[in-house]
Amino acid sequence: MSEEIEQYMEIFIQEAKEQLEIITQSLLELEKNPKNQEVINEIFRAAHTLKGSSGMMGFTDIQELTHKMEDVFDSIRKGLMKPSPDLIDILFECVDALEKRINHLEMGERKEEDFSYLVEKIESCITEKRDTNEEEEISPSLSMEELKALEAEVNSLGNAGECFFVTVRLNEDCLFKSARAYMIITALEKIGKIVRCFPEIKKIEDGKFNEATFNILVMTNYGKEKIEEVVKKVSEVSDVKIKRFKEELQEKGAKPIDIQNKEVHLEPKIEVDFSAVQTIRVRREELDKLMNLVGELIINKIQLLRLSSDYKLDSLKTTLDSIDRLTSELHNLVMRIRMVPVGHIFNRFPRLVRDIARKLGKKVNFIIEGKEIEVDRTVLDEIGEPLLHLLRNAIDHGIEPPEKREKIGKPPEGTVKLTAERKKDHILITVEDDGAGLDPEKIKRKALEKGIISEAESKVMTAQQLIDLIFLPGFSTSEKVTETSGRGVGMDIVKTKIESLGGTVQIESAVGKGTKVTLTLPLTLAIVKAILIKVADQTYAIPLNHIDEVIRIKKSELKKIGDVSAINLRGNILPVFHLRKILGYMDLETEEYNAVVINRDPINFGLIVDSIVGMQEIVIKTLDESLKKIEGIAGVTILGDGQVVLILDPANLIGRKRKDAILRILS
Amino acid sequence: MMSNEKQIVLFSLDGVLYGTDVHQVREIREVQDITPVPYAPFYIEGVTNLRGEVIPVIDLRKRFGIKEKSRGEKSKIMIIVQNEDKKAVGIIVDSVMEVMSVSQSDTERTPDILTTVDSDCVLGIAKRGEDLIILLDLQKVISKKNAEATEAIEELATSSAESSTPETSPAEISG
Repeated sequence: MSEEIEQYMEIFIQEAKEQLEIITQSLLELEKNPKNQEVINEIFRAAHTLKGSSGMMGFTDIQELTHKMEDVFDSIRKGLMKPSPDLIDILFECVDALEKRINHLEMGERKEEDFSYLVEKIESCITEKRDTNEEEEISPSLSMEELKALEAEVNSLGNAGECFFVTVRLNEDCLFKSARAYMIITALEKIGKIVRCFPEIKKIEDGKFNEATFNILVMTNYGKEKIEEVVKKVSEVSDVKIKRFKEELQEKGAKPIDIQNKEVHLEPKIEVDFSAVQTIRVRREELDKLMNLVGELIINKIQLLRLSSDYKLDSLKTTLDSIDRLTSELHNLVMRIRMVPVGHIFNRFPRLVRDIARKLGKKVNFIIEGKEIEVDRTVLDEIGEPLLHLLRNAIDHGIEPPEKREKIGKPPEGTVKLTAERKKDHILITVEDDGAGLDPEKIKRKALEKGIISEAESKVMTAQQLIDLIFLPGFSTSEKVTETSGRGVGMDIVKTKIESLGGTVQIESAVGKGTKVTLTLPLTLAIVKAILIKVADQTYAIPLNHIDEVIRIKKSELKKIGDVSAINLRGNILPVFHLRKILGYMDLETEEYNAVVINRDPINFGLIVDSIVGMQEIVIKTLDESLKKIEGIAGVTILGDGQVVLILDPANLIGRKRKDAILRILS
Repeated sequence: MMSNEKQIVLFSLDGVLYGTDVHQVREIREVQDITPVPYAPFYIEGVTNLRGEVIPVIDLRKRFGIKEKSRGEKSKIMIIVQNEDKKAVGIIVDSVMEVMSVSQSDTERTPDILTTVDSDCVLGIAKRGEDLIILLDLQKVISKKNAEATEAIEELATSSAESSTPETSPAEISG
């Protein structure tokens, strides 16, 4: 048995997660629509399934808790209880505890949890215990005509043996009922002929069968005992009842009919649906491996192209062209496979939004749009945290308390909208609220108070420039620090994270009307165009989407503004840094410098490099764990000649001090 | 350790002989081009290309706090081992001599007096004639936990000696 459990573990975990997800979604729906019978039924089913499968796997703690939850849902279903917010809180608490337990299981932690505190909480809520165990009818209720048709079929089979009516009852909590049923049918086929199944064999084969009891009409030369023995060999059978078909007929009072007058099918037709499976599950690691291999292939392709041009091998050209085309097709395909709908993380938010709103005593109508928009998995993995930050901000700082909203003529329930949409090679994710909006004056006061801007600066800054100040580290406009937000780390972190993904963040806000934050993200991260540069004999790559242009700077053009060097680029101030210094090398002494202009909010900056090598496609590989923490290095790539080159993340490379210095000259 | 004989790869570092279980060694190869990584932990020499895989390269001299060789005579040999996550890591040593077997009877436990941070990296000491061979668990040597502890000590040492090293700090604002 234990081996079998091991084998089912993965399926169980998967299923449990799905059921918990259903419960979460449905609970949210139920809170909005307490009378929605369909939703209640759905929760009940999910809890029931979870109870069954956990019992089957021997996780009594989970079983016990889900059983209690099931009781609650049943009471709600019967109208004995109302889904009050308090009750839903408790139920969510249960879901959280179960989720945690399942996650532990996934990591190999088998220890049982003590859920008794939750069970007690639930028990105190249940007003009335439901009456259990209604005995169900075992044999199928067949109409007279059906019985007659069956009899005709049996008679037509002649002397192949005696016909028995077998009623099998599986364990209530058996996980794979149709698989079990199928096993029983196959076993019986070995000792006789299956005349009929209830439900039909096809249904069982398709896995559409999920009842505990089913019936088989079998014709065999063996006796009752043999049938019983065969059926009981299959595990998880709780009960078998065998009756001679003739007796069944007599009991139901059917008269034997004359076979000659009836036209009959000699064999029940078994139709099997062999249509191919449409989707298959693939492990994440394998997909990553595939992506890596395609990356290798592209690197080698570039190498081949280089060799062919170096040695002028014209005869290779046609083949190389088709390899070129094939690799890019392959690349596109792999990228497409790696795309996942944003719904995967969006679906987690309704619950979080509800909890935050409830904690803060605010009313929020949360709307999600564009769940189906797809984005590369690597991008998706990274945006959950920043989005949660933004949603928290919207509820905490944006949406006003219900009383205040009513006073200023807004509906008491605020609206927070999370939208994803695709725009060419980018996806836009927006978080929008109809709350108080950001007040530039308030931000100005705060910035002055904290010494972030000077009096003179504050006078010339536009409203938008003031709003953008909230991206600065340590800036928080909330009057009081709350549990959910307002620790002064929020927007800075969001911005850093999104920029490290090669994206940008924009804020639009109107006082009294609301705030809209837009994240623009690249669809994929794995393969990008980059400019290769050289510093102190080392080549580095800078992704093209960070670069506005490549310029040359005369030494005489460099001016000092405070502690930062800058140039005048077509009338705008451009702060300039030496990449050599940033990377810890000695300065290069020359009359004219090469530089790349890095686009970044609030203003661009220049990076002086030794030389520009050129532009090419690069495959981003992640750095080893021990080197991952280094800020400003986005990854590593291998060039066509096998050289390993670091990919720079310019925005984070320059470090906090330089970022602050840039902001100081921003006025 | 159950069997009497154990195959080890014998290598040297600053005149001292070390041995590591042959099963821990994936391959031994010449040091290829190494790309330095700015701001990396001090003992990491950089990254290199191992047949399309980018692997970190550790300088065992730096890792053990032995002074570096002068530029001209830098070692050209590295041992490729797998870390805890089954990823390849290169370890630069002075030279690799041979694969030999040591018997259990010639091996002694680490003397208690050798209790430094890294003492759990040392499995024991084997004798070969007059020579002593320090048996290392290379996987433990490169494990993050051990390396970080060493790094912390190194940082303490350098911060106390800060004033004497005029090297430019990368965090400084450039002009």
